[in-house]
Amino acid sequence: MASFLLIVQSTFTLKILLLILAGSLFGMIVGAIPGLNTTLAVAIAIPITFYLEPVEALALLSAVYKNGIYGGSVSAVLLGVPGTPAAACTVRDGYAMAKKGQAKKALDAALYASVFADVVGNTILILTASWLAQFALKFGPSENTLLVVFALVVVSLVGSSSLLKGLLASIIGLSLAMLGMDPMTGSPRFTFGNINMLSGVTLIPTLVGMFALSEIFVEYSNFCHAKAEGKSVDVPQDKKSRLSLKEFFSYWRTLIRSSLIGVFIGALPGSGPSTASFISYSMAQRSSKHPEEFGEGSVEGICASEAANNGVCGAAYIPLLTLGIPGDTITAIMYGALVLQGITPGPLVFTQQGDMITGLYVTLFICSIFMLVLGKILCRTLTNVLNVPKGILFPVIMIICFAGSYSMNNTMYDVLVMIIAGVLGYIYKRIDMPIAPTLIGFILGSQMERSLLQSLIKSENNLSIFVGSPIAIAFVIIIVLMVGSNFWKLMKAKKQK
Amino acid sequence: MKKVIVALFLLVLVLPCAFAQGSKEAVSAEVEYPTGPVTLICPWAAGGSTDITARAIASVAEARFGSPVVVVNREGGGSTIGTQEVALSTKGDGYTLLVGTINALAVLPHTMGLAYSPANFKAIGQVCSRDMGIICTADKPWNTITDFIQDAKANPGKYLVSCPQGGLQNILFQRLADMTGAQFRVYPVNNDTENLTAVLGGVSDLGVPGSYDVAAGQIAAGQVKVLALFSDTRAASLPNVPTLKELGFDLSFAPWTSLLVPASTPDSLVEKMRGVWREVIQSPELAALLAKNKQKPDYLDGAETQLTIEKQFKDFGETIKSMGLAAK
Repeated sequence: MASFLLIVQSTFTLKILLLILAGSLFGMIVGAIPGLNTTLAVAIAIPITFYLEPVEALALLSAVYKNGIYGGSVSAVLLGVPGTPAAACTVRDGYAMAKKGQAKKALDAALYASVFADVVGNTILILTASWLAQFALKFGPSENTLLVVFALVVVSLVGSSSLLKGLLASIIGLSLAMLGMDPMTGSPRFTFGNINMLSGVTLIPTLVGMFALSEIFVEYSNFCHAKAEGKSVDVPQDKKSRLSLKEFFSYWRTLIRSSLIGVFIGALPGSGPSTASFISYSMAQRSSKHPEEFGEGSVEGICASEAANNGVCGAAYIPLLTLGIPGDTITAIMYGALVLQGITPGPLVFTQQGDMITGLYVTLFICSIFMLVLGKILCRTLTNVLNVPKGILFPVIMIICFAGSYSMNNTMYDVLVMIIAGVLGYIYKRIDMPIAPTLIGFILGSQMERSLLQSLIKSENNLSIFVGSPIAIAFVIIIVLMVGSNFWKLMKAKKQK
Repeated sequence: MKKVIVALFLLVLVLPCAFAQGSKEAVSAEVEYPTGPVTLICPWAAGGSTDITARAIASVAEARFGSPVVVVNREGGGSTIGTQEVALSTKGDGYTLLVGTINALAVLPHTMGLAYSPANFKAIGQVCSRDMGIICTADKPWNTITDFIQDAKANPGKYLVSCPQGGLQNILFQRLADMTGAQFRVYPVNNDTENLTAVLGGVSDLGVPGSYDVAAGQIAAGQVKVLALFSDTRAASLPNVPTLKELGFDLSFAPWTSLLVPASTPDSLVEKMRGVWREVIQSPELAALLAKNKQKPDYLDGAETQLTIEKQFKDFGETIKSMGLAAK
């Protein structure tokens, strides 16, 4: 215990606190800018870590990572544009609330839920890291396939008002995922001989186009029909506009469930925060007392989405540290940073680098505190964005969209993708088709194709592999029950008519 | 009068240019390089292993040149997009270099049917290479690759070997199998991390990652063993693991990273560049940075690098064709 306190003491150095402060601010701002994502923010911070001690390096990178994921929700609420893919699900309720003049409340909800899930994620990381890692390894190709199917079913069944439109949107997303390279052999598909098409449809520009550009189109066409008002929305300044902790904690069920979904998805190598937030959002809507509020500006919806994507952050360290397997691109960059420090993540890191791990744990909690404080300050300032007249705000967003998409890879191809996605998003909004299923289908499409092929190769084309383990059987039962109950509800509704 | 003087003066200025045509060799020997900022194109995302190598090269070069050396990430298409961009560039001026890797130069043009080949490049020099190994979990009954081959011969098609399908590792392992008559199935993975996950999770029996170092943590903990290395010599960190050559297989290989410029770069400039960059590549500063990134400094001069790439491109092309993986 004495040694623990010693480590805690050695972690509370001015240098580490300053690094976390700088990293948090930087992460939050980059995360909030549409088109610039957290991966980029973490990659930019890497060269600085060359001159730091291992714990300091991890503190800086964790601060950038966690606050970047949180920062994405700020622009999701204020501008209706997810700053990062992880916040794509927050847009629905967050932006709806902002339009109603409840932006502060929505931002509070996102911040508190992020911090709450962060603390849950850190605690679970500390208590059960090695156990969860072993469990994650049991997730073979067949379990992964079923997880993706589960996510798709949940999102398309629950996320939309019309089942047909939901399924159609899912299928469009899955089809988009087929463009580019075959995920297994790398052979080109639907590339029309254009080398840029080898990357397929790039995610970030698609996201920016579907949410931001399409919104600008919608606003512009409203403006042409003289329906738009000059100022965006009023931001009430009284106390009622804030979210009380009492109301926040009244959603404790959703918060805990969403954080746990986030932690679970985060511990699996290869699944990311956007998957987690989509699943948890749909689950929350399914079990909510007020499912009709979802999409219209539900605090519970924001909590579900944001708790899940920040729950992933803490848990993403589990496969990284215990197995030496980075689960996503961001932890892959951290892996690289650790290797440069002369540390090899893996089973021995806890015994050989125990002090560093304890130091990391302490810094993770400091990051959560900084997120809360900085988030509060930042929100207060940033809500002023809403007072900017639309005639100025939207052109600025448009410039950010173009610049952000271009900067991803320094190519005009990404800008083109963004524009096409913008037109597609506009059509979606005009015919009232949900964007979420398309997005989740697109994000999960290649993962599904890959794990399906891997399963069939493993089993030599025997489908029994999908009921070959307890985890797989559990997934199959849940999927069948969900589809069945929805079908049942549909039949009942028809009979009543 | 004034006009005549001006005309004469101009003539004096222009004359050397006329002679320059005749004495090209003499002038080009004094090519100044580098005189401005240099760009290194990294065809992989920021933060990856090749990116870290590229940034190490850039930082050492910048200190030596005294002018900026910038890494630009042009990722996508399994590193082919950035590679093709440099390959097809018609303005080779020596200030844009590719940090090229074996897969994009010698393997993927065959399997993906791309618009470039090594003939589109002029090599400046090889920078480093890695040790490629064959790994499995410690509970597997095999202690050397020979044990596995005998087992795989007795049970054709029973064992799953994880590697990127149609990638470098797949081709090399296939060569090993062809030499011995062993039969195995490929469990396709996209990268070393997925490969390790498949091996640890028991999904595949054997893994051939691009670098055995991906499992360094597990190897140290005794959870994973390395059955053989593809390199010419044993690795310093694994003194007990034999190379395939030692075991009697005529197969040796080390995935490399090289600096290349487009073929449109003039030969005289390429000569100058090879000299300038050799000093960067062979510097002790770079060696130290590379070792941290688990890369072996492995310098080859420009001409040798060019020959290596062209030979490997041809060899792999034949194997890929015989495996039925060539692009149609």
